[in-house]
Amino acid sequence: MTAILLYLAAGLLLITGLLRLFLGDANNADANTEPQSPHAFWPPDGSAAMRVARQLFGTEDWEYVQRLDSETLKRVFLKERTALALIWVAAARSEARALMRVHRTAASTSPHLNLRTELKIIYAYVGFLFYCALLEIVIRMRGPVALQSFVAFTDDCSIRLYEAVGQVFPLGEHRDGEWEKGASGRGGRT
Amino acid sequence: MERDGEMHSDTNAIRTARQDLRHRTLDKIVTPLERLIYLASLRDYRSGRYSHDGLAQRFSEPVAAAALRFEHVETFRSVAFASLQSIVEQVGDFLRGTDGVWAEGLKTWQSLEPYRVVVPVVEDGMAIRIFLSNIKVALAILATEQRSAP
Repeated sequence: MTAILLYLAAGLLLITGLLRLFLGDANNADANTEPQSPHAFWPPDGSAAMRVARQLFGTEDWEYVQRLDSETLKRVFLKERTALALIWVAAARSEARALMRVHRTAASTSPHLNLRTELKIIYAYVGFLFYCALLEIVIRMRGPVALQSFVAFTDDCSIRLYEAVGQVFPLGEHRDGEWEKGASGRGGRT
Repeated sequence: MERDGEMHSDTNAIRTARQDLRHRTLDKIVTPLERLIYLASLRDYRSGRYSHDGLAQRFSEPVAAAALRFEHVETFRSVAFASLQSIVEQVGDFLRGTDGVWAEGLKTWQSLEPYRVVVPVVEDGMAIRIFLSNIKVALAILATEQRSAP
């Protein structure tokens, strides 16, 4: 029972974390909805995450700054965007760590541990951390401009991690709809 | 069941209040940045509550406050995630609107950063960071343009 509750908590944390990380910061509200919380503004179709990624890692703003033909402005822009991009990566990593902490707690008390699933989760987690580290190095070396594909790839790694953790989530117990809602929302973000 | 009905009714009232607010006021304000500044000005500095007498009279105070809050958040995000070029134009238009004190306005925005107060209370994370960063870069661009202007 405790394990089920912990997995439920992991699922909720995952959904909340993802909303905060990928959706909690972008896009317009649907004029036809009146959400009760700020996060309810975000449509579940992934457009918000795409806007954040486009803004931070896209080329439109950089092309505009280049047209201004000022080295000082280029430096100011790159400094600002690099700082933002690093915060974005740190937030992504932090959310994944929080998810793993909850998962570890749940796994330590669960009598139904599946070694293969656990290895898959560890593999996905390490892979995600690796790409986050790589992304961070690339951002520090050359700035965040034109890294959208890399970001999308890193985000795919996070999707794999969340899906792997989702495999041990008790889908058949109580919250089928809730998990599926979260999972489909996560999968379509970038 | 009754509670659901109330919530539905509130939701409809807020939606209508938002449409009313847009129709009567917001649509007449040209740029999203100016709309954002206007909406932020309707928020009490101490409590963070929104108030608009006309809207509250037509609907109710809580409905008016909720409508203003939603419009504020939505407008904020439309500015925060606009392209840098658009933000430069919007900030430039806004500061040029202050007749004859364009240079002074630019200096004030760079030093006092008054744009920080237009952030909605419920907003968090990357949107705020992106917004503040974009305004900062926009001001740097405008200052450079001003210096190089004949």
